[in-house]
Amino acid sequence: MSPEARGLPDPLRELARERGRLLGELGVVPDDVAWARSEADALASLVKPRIGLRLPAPVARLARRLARALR
Amino acid sequence: MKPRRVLVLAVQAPFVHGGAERHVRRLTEELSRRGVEADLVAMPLGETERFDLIRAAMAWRSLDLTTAGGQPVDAVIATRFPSYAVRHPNKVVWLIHQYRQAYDQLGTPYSDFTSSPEDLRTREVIARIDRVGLLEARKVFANSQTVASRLARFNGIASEPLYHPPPLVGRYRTGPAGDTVLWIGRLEEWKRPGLLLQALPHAPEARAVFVGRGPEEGRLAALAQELGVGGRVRFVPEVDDETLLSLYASARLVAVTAAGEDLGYVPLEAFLSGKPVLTTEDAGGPLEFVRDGVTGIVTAPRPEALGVALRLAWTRTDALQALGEAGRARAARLDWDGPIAALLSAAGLA
Repeated sequence: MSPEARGLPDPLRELARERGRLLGELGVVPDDVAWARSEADALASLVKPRIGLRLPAPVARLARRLARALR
Repeated sequence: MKPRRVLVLAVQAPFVHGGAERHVRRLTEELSRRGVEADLVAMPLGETERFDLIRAAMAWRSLDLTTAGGQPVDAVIATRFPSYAVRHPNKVVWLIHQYRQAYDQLGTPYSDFTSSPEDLRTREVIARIDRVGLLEARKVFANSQTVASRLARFNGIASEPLYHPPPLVGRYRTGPAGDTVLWIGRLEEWKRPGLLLQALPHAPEARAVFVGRGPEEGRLAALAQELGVGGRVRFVPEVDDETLLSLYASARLVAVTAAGEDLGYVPLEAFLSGKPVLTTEDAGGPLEFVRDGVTGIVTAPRPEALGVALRLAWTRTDALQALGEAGRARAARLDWDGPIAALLSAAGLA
């Protein structure tokens, strides 16, 4: 398990992997940082609603993880 | 024989009830009438940021429609971007249209895509979604040659035009030529209702009825006053089916002013009501049915040119009726048997 993924519920990790794979199929690449962040943000909101405008650290980690899944 | 189970996939803009929405509902009904267990699956497509388009494609891609209620779904029929992003081993596409702002409307006032990096990437991804989603399908149909040609031109994907009758087929009726030119559709910029309005000062006898709602409502009402034609124009935001049939039957002719329409029901509805169609050289799909001097009048997309045509329509009633009759004969050949047989055959369910 990657350090970023620790602490996330299993279904969310599974979902992140699946969504990352699907985004890749549809042509989204790791360089599309804002989109990967947006997706990660939406996923993370399933666990904890986003508060404020600053990207929470767990979401930023999830965004990186999504970006890796897209490779 | 086990009933065939088919899902029609629709993209529904909430609170919008246009031709596309009627089309998918009718398709579902026509499948059911032929013994297919059919249902409609719809999701919205809104765009407050570009990623919404990709997110919507992802939503379709994430769906598992291979089974429903524990029973297999034999086929899906996708219709509009991005419903065809769905994964299904037996996917058939009957394309109403792609995301036109990224293709043929690009660079026109009807597209807000710019040359910004994000817009360029979005267009690339939309093209990728189209390729992935459409090339997976067992067969791609288009609802007109115009739509098929766009798909070939922009994506290099072959498709077969498949025509169908308008929603109230069997109920349209004819009537003597009245004193109005009828315009029907959403009052939005690319449909160019203003073009007909601006033609009225050039045709003093003509009266116009505009049926529909949309973002241009206020501007058009103001324009009618500004042009001094307010007394000859009536705006009707909503009509029920019976009123619509009456408006068609009592019109003198029907105007279709949209630029690059996919197909459009209005010309077919006009023809089935025995009315000729006044349209423009850049109309797109309507030109597959409207032939100048045969089933209607085709002019340059300029108010003066439409005005000349309207003046003609108000003086040549006999000729106008002959055009309408020719149109009626043309549209009467369309039925639902052909498209349903083609779709089921493509899905291996005939």
